[in-house]
Amino acid sequence: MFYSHSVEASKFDLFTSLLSTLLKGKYEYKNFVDAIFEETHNYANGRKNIYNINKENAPIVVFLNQNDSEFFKEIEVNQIKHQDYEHVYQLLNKSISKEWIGAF
Amino acid sequence: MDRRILDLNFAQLSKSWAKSKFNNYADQKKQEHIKQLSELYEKLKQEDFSQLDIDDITQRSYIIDFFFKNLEFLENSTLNLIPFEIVECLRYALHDWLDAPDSYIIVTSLVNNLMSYSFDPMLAIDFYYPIVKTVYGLEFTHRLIQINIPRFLVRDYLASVALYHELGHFVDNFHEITFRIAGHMAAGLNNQTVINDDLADVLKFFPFIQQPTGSYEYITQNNFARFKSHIAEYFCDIFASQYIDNSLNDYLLYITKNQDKPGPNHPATTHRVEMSNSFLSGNHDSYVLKTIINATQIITNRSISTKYTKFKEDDLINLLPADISEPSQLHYLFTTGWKIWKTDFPNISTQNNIVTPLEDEKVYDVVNNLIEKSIGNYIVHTSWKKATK
Repeated sequence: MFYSHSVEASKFDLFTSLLSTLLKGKYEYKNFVDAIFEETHNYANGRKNIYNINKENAPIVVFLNQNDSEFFKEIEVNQIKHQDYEHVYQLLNKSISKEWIGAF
Repeated sequence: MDRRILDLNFAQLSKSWAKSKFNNYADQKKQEHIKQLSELYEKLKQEDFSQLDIDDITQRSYIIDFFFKNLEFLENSTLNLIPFEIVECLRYALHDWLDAPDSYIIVTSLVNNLMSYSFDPMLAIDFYYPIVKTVYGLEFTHRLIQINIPRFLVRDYLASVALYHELGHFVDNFHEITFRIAGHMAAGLNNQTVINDDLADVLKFFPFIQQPTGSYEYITQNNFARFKSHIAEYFCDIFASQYIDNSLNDYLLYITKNQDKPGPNHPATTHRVEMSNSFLSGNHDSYVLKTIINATQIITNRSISTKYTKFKEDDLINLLPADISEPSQLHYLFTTGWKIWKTDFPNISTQNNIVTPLEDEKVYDVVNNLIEKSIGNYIVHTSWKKATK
């Protein structure tokens, strides 16, 4: 096969690209990105669980929580700052497998 | 990303669209979808790509991928090409699993590989749609459920039972069932709450999982994707069994040559068959089976259970299309078709005074025609009833 990419991997690539756009000061994807931050915040604090988090972005939410649960517990979801986006962008760009989401 | 490659990609799209935009479709929903694609094409055409930065280019490239993906499936779903009868059966099954099934259009792509029944999730999930909406302000009314069908078997109603398995992949993706089950089971294995018989059951159905030593865990970064993928296959086999009983099993064993070793993405066929047979027999002792059934109930608020109903087979035995009165009977047509093919045809021949045994090729045509006509009659009757209400 010339090229193959899993759905999960594509979701991560796209999310990273949208986050990058946001970091450049272009806010058209802000609502989309913020909704994922908020979902991860609720998941990290136990207000949501694996069975009721938004299904479309579940792999991203679980991945983010797994990689920095403390950050997402504390984040002010109504006032997400530039450095918060930057922090998550760095998380996503670490060279770790994003399909590894074993320990929910 | 190179902007000139984006230009090339759009030129490729323009060439394909010039041909596909004139396709005709039987149903209104596909016509509407094509109209919305046409609006998207105009937006892309009007944009000056030279003004885009690297992230914009990436996002436009996703939009062009989205467009091509649509063409790939719509091109093979025209009035003359789509296997309308089987798609209608799948559409009824879809109603069992979605709150808003009419938001989805089942489309098919015909592929050359004889074994290549598969589901492509990309136009069914909310992956591309938010970008299209954000970049161009366009909303698509319908999502597409894309199923690949081998070109040579497009009217084969025996092999088509595999499509119920593929529909299972869509339902799995839609509700993110496997993803959650895999996480739940992985946590149970790694924190050692899955023990004794339950653990033995997991190790039996996922034999690639090693007993951990030292600080290692059962499910790791190295085997999680495989674990999840195998759960998905078990889920889809069970999903299909709800509608077509055990019809898939013999065919699956044959085409996989009785595979008794797990592959990278699929469990051993022998295990798959054992799992769906356990489900059908009502023996739900297996921890893996129980987990799949219970988790599906929790996640979807719908139960995994037999969803076909039998009908009197007299008409088929007399070589007449079956008189189907409800959708759940449509699914049973496939099981009956297999029964006729495998065992019943000699008796049917005798009963219909066919003196010279028919060649298998003719029997194959008869079975397929009977199923197709039975479904077709049901569709016509239902449409007629709706029209005359």
